[in-house]
Amino acid sequence: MESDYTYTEAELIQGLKARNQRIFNYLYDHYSPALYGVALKILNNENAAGDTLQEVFLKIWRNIDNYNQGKGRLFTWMLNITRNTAIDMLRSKSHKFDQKIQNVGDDVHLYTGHLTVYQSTDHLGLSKVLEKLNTEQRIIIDLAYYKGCTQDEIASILKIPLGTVKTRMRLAMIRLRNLLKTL
Amino acid sequence: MSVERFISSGIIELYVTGMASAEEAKELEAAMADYPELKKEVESCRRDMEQYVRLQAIAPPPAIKEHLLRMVADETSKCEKE
Repeated sequence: MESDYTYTEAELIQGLKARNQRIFNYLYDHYSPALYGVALKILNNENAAGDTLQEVFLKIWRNIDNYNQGKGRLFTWMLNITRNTAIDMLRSKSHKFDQKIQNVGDDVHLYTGHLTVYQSTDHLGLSKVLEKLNTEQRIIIDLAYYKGCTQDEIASILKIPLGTVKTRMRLAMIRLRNLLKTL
Repeated sequence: MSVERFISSGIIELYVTGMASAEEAKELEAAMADYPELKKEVESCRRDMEQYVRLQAIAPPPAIKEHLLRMVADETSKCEKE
């Protein structure tokens, strides 16, 4: 019974505001893998990521009236909800900065080992990008975007001067963006 | 700060990845309101970041969807009764 019909973003927003469950179903099918990937990356734990995903979609369903189209696209809004929810969960669990470093340490270990523990839905595209982005660049982007670290925290985790963080981040993003263009 | 200076300062990348300080974010947002080309630059960087995010998409366990749809349906029927 799956239909191939693609809803526009405006239709999705309108449908959600009208509390249309069919639209919610569609939204889940189309966006849950991306959002689950984010939660999993932040939390490194399938159960916690699953709980987060559920909470995120309930927030989307309940708070769609707070979404302001003038401030950004729907996907950006949903991503921000996901990052905030997952980071909150991460911090509430760890409480301490130490724990966060520990988590990051685990990540660094992940980076040096297998490409990724979980199979992404676009494994080929991802490998292509990750192959050419060096570990240091991946880590700095991930610490900022996924782990929500501040510049100070990144400087302390990577043991680099604060002034270097900005430059490195910029270079990493330029490299990432150029790589994405080759896909 | 001119648009060019904003672009070369790297602040856009910091902003999009959530690493800009509150002060930097405020400054950039104010400038974005004045300069549409700067807003376009930020949006383009954000779209690239989101493409990177999509590359890392992973299918969640199917049980989550069932549970979620049930919760939403319950909530909706409750609202209708009220």
